[in-house]
Amino acid sequence: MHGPVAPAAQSDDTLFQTLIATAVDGIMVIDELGIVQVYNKACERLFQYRADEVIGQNVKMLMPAPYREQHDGYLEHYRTSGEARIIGVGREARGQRKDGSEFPLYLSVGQGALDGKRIFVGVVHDLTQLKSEAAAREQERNFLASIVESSNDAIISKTLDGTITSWNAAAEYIFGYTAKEMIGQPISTLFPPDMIDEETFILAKLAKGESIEHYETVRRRKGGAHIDISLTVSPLYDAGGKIIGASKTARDITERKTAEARLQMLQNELTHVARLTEMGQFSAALAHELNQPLTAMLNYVNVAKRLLVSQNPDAPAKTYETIAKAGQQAQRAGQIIRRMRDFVEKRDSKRTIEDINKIAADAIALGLVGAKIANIKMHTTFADRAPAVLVDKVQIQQVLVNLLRNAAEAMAESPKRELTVTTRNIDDTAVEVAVADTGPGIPEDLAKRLFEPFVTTKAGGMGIGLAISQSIVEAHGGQLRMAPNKNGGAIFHFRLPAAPTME
Amino acid sequence: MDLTIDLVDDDDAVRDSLRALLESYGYAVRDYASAESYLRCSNDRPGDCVIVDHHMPEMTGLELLEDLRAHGDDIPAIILTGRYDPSLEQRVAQVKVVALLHKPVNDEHLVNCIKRACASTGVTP
Repeated sequence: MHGPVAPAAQSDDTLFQTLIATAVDGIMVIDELGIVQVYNKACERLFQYRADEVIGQNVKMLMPAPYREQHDGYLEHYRTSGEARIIGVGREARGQRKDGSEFPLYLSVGQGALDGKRIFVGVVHDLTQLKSEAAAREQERNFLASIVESSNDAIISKTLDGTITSWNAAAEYIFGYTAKEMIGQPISTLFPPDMIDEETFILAKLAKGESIEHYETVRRRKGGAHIDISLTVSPLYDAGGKIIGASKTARDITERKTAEARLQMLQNELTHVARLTEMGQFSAALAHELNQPLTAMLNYVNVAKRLLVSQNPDAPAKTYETIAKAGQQAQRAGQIIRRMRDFVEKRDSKRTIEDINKIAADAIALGLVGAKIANIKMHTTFADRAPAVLVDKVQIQQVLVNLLRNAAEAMAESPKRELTVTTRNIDDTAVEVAVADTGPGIPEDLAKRLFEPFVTTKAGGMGIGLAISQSIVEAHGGQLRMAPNKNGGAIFHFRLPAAPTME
Repeated sequence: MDLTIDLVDDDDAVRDSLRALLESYGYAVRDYASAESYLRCSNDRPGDCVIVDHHMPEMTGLELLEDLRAHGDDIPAIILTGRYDPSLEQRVAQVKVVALLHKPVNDEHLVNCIKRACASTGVTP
């Protein structure tokens, strides 16, 4: 039998006894067969068993499964082969308390001899707190990782030479590449070919430790489609404060850009409507102003008629006087119209040298968004070398937008829907612009009155669009005309004189 | 005795031409360049009919009629207007007018309205 051995008692070394008793870590000694010889105070705290419950018992009582079952085997293996698995090194293991609960521990085992018999000295360090801190750190890491993963913004990290090192779920969604495809690839994969210089600029800023915030640019998705993104790039530092890479946050702003474009379009439309309203008020004011001299003229003419048939001896003189007054009122009406025209011309004299092709292209972009353009085939034939024109760009655009929308609406019910915008150089002295449609065309009786105000074929139309367009074109020295399209439909065309040159 | 027509219009030419026209039809005409001057002068002997332009600065033709009616003056009235204003027609209905006429006015139509206006007071030309 192996009775309890008290090594310290033998040497009667109280210092040693104190050391064992006050050690923070658990210290125990077992013999070759695993029987506990020494079990200190710290062990009592760790395992909840008192020394007298453990000393003389097999140490495996302090172990949970599967260590418990394996322990005798380890000792046996060591005794017969001399091959140690744990001696002198130590490892993480688990202990079992008296109440059955388990805890993590770090066990280091030394080997010694006492009274010619081999003993093992075990030092048990409680890992509970360390483990929970590690678990907390792990949890935090997972938490941060889940934020990165669940973000709607693409979050990408890269090294300073531009190699991608991480790629979250939103990056997969926005750019169309999976993390597996992109990690290890160069970030330049995402750049449109003509924007590759941007990376040089970004890297230069990063090298200085500067961030780039909400930088709006364009990147390429898998498959080559371009997307609008807002980019934020910040340097990543190592523990020593050295820049080792960058984190990139990219937000897909395609939707916002689309909304902005729509807003712009609505604003343009609003301007258009405002112009028409203004024009309407203008006409009302003009009508009232003209009504006064017209009323007076009519009255004087009626008076003159009545005087001529009257028996009044003063009639000839009075008639003359009355007709003269009617004439004055006609002059007054003329003055009102001159005054109005001066006002219109003064107000709108924002003439600049413009390229007709650019105005036409803008008008097409502006006029056909939101119009009923379903299934309309758009053709443009622009003059290669059109002379510059001196025009109010917005007004000419309005004329073209008006013509394009009319054309699109006219073709809504047509089997063939082709819209052709042509610009033509007329001997370098003028440019001709034509808008041709394949709609039902304009009936002959209507064609004669087409440019008069309040003439329309549209239900709910005001019939002032073409009248206003005509007055704009006329103010620019041209004439808006309509001709039947030989393939069916109508062609509206006008010429603008070339801008005077410096020669 | 000739029927007397009071004419209120701020436009000199319209007023002068209308006066000549009405005189050629045999009416005596007293003209006023504003609603205020009419209110000041027309008290000694009332006219048989008043023709007022609606669009006048300061007091409008409609306001003049509202003022007259508020003071118990039932003089037959014709309103002239040079603008299209649907709300005016509704408001004119409140002040009892013989007609609301749009400028320029056909002379025969105007004279017919004047005849109707004067008939309502029991006087004939």
